[in-house]
This record gives sequence, C-alpha cells and structure tokens, in this order.
Amino acid sequence: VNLKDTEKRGVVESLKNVLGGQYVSDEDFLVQVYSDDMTTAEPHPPDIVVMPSKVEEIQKIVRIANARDVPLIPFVNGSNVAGLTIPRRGGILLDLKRMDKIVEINQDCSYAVIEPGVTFGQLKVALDKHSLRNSIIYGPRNNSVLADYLSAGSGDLMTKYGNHAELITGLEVVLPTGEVVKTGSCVLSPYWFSLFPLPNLAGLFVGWLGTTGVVTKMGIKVVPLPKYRDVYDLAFDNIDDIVYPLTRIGRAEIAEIVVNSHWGIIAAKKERDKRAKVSKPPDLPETYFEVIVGGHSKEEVDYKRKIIEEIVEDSKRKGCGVSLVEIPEMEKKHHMDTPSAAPGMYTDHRGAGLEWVGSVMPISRWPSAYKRCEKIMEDYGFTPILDLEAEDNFHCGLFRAIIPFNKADPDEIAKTKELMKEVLEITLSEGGVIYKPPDWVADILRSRGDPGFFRLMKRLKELLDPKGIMNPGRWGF
Amino acid sequence: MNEEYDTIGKFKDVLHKCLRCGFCKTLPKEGDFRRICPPGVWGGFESYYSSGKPRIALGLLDGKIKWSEGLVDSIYSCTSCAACKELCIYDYSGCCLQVNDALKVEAVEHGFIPDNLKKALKNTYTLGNPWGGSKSKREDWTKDLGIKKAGETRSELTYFAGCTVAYDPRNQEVARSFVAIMKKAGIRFSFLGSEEKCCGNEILKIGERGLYETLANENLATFEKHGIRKLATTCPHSYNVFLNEPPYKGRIEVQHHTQLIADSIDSGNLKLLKNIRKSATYHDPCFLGRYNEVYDAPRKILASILGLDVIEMPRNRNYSYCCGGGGGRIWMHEHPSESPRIIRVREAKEINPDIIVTSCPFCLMNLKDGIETIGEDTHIKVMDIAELVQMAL
Repeated sequence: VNLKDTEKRGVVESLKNVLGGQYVSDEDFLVQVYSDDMTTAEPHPPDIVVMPSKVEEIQKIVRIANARDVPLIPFVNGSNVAGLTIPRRGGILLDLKRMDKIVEINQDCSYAVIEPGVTFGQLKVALDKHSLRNSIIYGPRNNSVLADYLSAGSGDLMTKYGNHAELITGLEVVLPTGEVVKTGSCVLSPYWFSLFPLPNLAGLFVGWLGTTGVVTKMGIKVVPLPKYRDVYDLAFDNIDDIVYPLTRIGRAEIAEIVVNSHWGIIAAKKERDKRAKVSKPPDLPETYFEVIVGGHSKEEVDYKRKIIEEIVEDSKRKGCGVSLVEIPEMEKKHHMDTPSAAPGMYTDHRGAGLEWVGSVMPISRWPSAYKRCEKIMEDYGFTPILDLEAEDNFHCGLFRAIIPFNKADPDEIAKTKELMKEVLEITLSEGGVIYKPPDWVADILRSRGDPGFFRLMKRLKELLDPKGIMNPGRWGF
Repeated sequence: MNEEYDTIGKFKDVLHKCLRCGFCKTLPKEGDFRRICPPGVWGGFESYYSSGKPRIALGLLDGKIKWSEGLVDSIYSCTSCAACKELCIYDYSGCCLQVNDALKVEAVEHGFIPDNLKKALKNTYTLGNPWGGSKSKREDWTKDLGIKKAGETRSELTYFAGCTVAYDPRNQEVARSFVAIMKKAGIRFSFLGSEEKCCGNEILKIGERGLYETLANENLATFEKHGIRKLATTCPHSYNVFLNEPPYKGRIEVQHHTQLIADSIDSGNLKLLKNIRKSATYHDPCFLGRYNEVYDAPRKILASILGLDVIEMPRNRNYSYCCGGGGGRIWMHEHPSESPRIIRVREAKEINPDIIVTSCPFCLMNLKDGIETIGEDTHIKVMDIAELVQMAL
C-alpha cells in the first residue's frame, strides 16, 4: 500500500519546497523508526516523515497530500497504547514535535492555549509559575497534552473535572482540504475560554483519532494549584465492597482523583522473575483506592480527611470491608507525582509490550467487570492488572484491563490478541464504552453500536475528508 | 576487548525492550522537564533520539534498512553523553548506550564513517593523536616549566595530558595551571611527552575497536617501560578509558585533576588564600559526571575558593546538558542554531555568572566557542577549574 517510487519522489520534492530539506525524509532507516509502537498492532512504516513548525506549512502539506491522495498521519510521541499512529497505508507522517509553543496562559479566564508538541512536563513547568495546573496523565512526561486531550484521555484531576476531552475550551484545525477553522469562543473573541455558547463543532474532531483534520492549537481549562494536597489509601479485600464508600466519596465532591492500585501491579513489581505470572500474595488487599484531595488551607484538606474517615466508618457499619491505610510521607509524594513512570511500570516485568482496551462504564459495574477480567487474564496465564479511575465526581469510571506482553514472543502476541477480544466482550457486556479504540476494536464497535451514529460519522467523514486521506484505518475509515 | 563494544547482533534479544516512552528525551521535574538529548534537539526526527537507535538496529538486523549517508549521520549524531542511560528507568536502560555504541562499531565495520572522523582516525593512526599535531610538538606545552619526563625522574604519579591538552593552545594553559598546582601542593610527578599517545576513549566511542586496542596496548607498554602505576589527567575522556575500559581497566590507577586537587585541599597541602570576588557556575562534563559520578570533587574545590559565589545552572550534575563534544562530535559539524554548545551557554546566561567553570578540554573548547558564536555582549568567561584554583593560590 506504500507509494510507488516515482510517485514518492514527486511528493518528496513538493514537501521539500515547503519545508526545506532538513525536515523531510523518506530514508528507510528514518521511516522504519515510526513503524511500530508498544502494542500488538502490526508495524507498518510511513513513506515520508515531515516535521512542520507552522500552521501554514501544515496547510500546504495537506494540500499536497490531498492533490495526490496520499495518507496523512498526525504524530507527536506515538505512545497512545492503541496503534493509532501506525501508518497502515503508508503516506506522510506529520511529526508535530516542533510545534511546541505554549501560545497563551490566561490567568483571568483560567485556560492555556497550546500547540500539539507541548508536553505534559513542559506545560506543568509553565503553569507552576502562575500557580496553575492542568489535569496530567499517569504516563510519560513527554506525551503530547493536545493529543491526549483530543483522544479523551484521563488524568489526575479526572474525578473532579471529568475526562480530558471535557476540559477542551477551543480548537484550531487544518481540515483535510487545507482550510483552517476554529471552534469555541475563539471564533469570535480573542479569548479561548469555552467551547460554548456557539454550536460546539469540536465534536467533529475530539475522539475522531485524527481522521477529520490536524488540530494545530487547543485551549484547555487550567485550575488553581492548591497549596495543600494529601492522599489517602482505602484498602479493600473484596471488590464487591467498593461501590458504597466510593460513591459516597464521589457525592461529597471532595476528590481530585480516585484511582486504584490493583494487587497485580504491586505484586508484579516485586517479582524478580519478570516473565513470571504472579498470584495474589495473601498479605495484599484485593485493591487499594488512592483518594487525592487538594485545598487552599490545611484546614480544608484536614476537613476532607474527616469526611473520608466518616465515610469509611459508615461503610464499615454497613458491612463493607474497607479500611483507611496510613501512607508514609515519602510514598505520598510518589502517589501525587504526575506525569508518572507509567506505562513502563506495567511493561517492564513482561517484555516491553503493552495493550489495553480502555473504557468508561458505570461505577456500579466495576466489581463485576473487575472479577470477570481478573479471571480471564489469569486463565490466559497473565498477571491481572486492573485500572479503575473515577470520572466527573463518579458519574462514571474508567476501567481497563492492562496487559503487558513480550514483544519478542510471537506466541505471546497471539495470546494477547485473543485475551484482548475476551476483555472487550466483557467490557461491552458491562455497559462499557471504549475510548481510543485500536482498529480491530473500532471494527467491532461499528458492528455493535447504534447504526445511525456510525452512518452519521461516515457522512461527516466524507464531508470533511472527501478523499479519505486522514489517518486511514482508524474508526474503519 | 570490552565486550560492551560489540556489534548490534549481541543485542538482538533486548532491542525490542525500548517502548519509546520518551523518558530519554526530557528531564524529570527536578530538571524542569527540559529537553536533554542533543541530537534529538538538533535533528528532531525520532531517529536522532536514543529511542530511535534500537529500531534502527532491528531494521539493520532484519535487512529492512540499508546503509546510507543519512543513516550514518543519524548514528554519529549521538554525543555519547549518556543522558539516555541516566533517564531510562525501564528494562532497556542497561543497554541503550551500548546499542548506540554498537551501531558505530557496525558503521566502521561496514566502512561507513563520516569524513571528518576518517581524518581524525587517520591522524590517530599515523601521528598518535586525532588533531593531526606532529609527534615532536606533543610536549611543547611543557616549555619553560622545568618538569621532568617519566624515565628522567622517579615519581609515584605521571601526568597524562592527552591529545587535546597537548595540542590545543587554550588547553595548554590548563595543563600549565595544573602543573603549578601540583608543584604548590608538593606533589612529585612526571609527564610522558612525546611518548604519550591518544588514550583511545574517543576512538572507541567512534567505533574503531582495532585502532583503540593498538593505542591502548602501546600506552600500556609505555607505562610498563617506565614503571608507571598511577596517572593524573585533566581530561575526563582519558580518565574514563583508563578507569573503565579493557585492556587499561585494573592495570593502571588514575585520578582526575578535580579529585587530586580536592584531596590536596582536604589534606592541607594546598591552600587557597586569595579572594576571588566573582560568580561561577560549574558545567559537569559527561565523562566525569554521568559516566563516573564525579560530581562532588569539583564542587568541593569551588566551595573552598574564598569570595567565589557558586551558582548552579538549571541542568546540573547527572542532569547536565552535554557540550556536544563526545562520541567523535568534537571533529564534526553541528546544526548551527541548535548546537549544544550554544544551548548550554544560553542556559548559563539564564543565571548570568562571571565564569563557567568546567574540567574537560572538549567542554572548554566548545563552551568558549559557544560564547564566541553567540557574539552577544556577554561578559561570561569559560575556565578550567585548574585555572581558577591557580588564581586562588
């Protein structure tokens, strides 16, 4: 599916006319580096990699691709854990790392405007100076903030403010035909404070996995950096006991994030044999839930602790097996420190491969999904690792079965793929909705979901990207 | 031969372990999340970063990649600064630097060496140094110093100047300062003069294993001939190779001048009496810092200088930003706007010291050049720590 040599030479020449020679390459060693990621997705190289630094350059590149029906794949760090930047049909990969400006930090309206190459680490340093913060992934510091928010990622303020996609306040997009459009308050105003009250056209790009345009600027909500933070650990021996106390914490609206630490990841990290399947150690609870709170005074944080203590006591009276565990001060810092060492902390014990089916589902379905996924993972010979994070004051919750695998073992890759299918079926049957779906998952979702929705997606795609050049393969396009 | 300097085939089973998370690209919070990989900064594409190298190695092993000028440029863009090794916290950390080195070994074995490096290698082969200086001029820096060669005097310590110190006029001043310090501290020492040959550290980092072994064996034979058991050096590259790389490793004792000066201050043999009313920041050389964890000795020296106001750059110690001189890059051209030497000087300007102090001949050359290239009205000077100590004597 890659370009023919003669065709490629012409495209390369046109791209060099836009960017100069330094930031255009079709050399085999260079395209090879962009051909894979940490998942089971089949590697495939792009034909050409370019590194634009300006919106105008992207417009010109898009027009070149459009004129010649060449696929375009937006890329920053390639660590989306879903194979979403693997160029399934070759084409031009847009490495957007050079577009790394923080365009604006607006303290009055509490938002930041960023380019695609801005990393979580970079933004954190900049916001710190203004005593502000954004929701930060439990993942590498080098990941793109824009790519994560655009694909509905999760982070350390998710319980308080919701999914990252809900924190977007505006977009600037180069359409697949080369026009630049904006959506949000920035359409009419110099300020990027909200996606409303105009019609919210961000829905044409958020969650579309780069299939409808290249987002070149994004406004995101930022919030005051609390002067005080603390983390409390709730230990559960039985997963069925989690719903009552956690839901009460959610309704108290006191947590920045509520996220679990499954016994599987704790035990796997301690296991010396990195290839071993680990069983649950008897001294570990089934799972911990960390509750992180922030406040502008010590009294506020102490008061939130008091509420949590009361909820724990009340839950015990109701028969829930929950206890509040004291965390050493040194460990607290580790819990609250984002961006974090994930995903390596998962992959390291198995062999640098990582896959998950990430979903959002009702909190009430967590225990059932948890038990079923734990069992199926053990049946397949994997140490179960289950990640649960509450969203938007417990309106719903992220649920994912994390599967580290050995990338050098074809049998294990095949087994991982089979396990993923089983996990997907469990997740869907529990009412889960998949975010950042890998291509094979997207195919299943299209066959199961509301046909009207997917027909509309198709019509919108055809309208925005008539030649189908944007990130082919994603969402079945 | 050091087994770490092998071809990429040795790493076949671990190359997949780099998950390209990007931890090797930027520092953690303690380093303000700043970018840290010099070739990544100037080259931009993923192939320039350490995380690109295992994918290149796999492609070469699988036959998906063919040798080309661009590939060689990408491989030799690595300054061997070891920041990637420092920052990788996963299973691949144990071999990321070795894979980068192995790609250079592979390039040499396939006859793909950048032209400037070919010249440095040829000079080393014919003249014993990469700079192309004649053998007879190797000891010019000792003129009028009244110091004696190994063989002319019995001493426990021999100063191994190294090629850059021996031939670069600016670095010759450093050698003379160090000699003055040793005399003041009452240290009896000899030097090797024209018998000294390239230590081979950079030759090894370029990937020329055969030439490295020849140089190392010839130097060891010279040490043997004069009964030399202990060396002092003002070059972290020499310090590293003597300390860590076979066949030197375990056969010769070595001290870097920062360690020797710090010891002399500690023992009371060296007294720094003059007040130096300046501000200074210390630039950690990669081969002294990240490779050998010598961070405290130079800082101890600076803290001993009366009146000196020592301030740290944002990136310091194990998070120091490379000057761009290692891995053979000292003999190669750099991207002008993203040159590591300029980036480092600009970082120093953020804290605006009077002096950037370092303890490596490559860093001294590069940072001096960085200041001159910026060409702004900067008052900042670059000095080796020995020069500053001499001023304080």
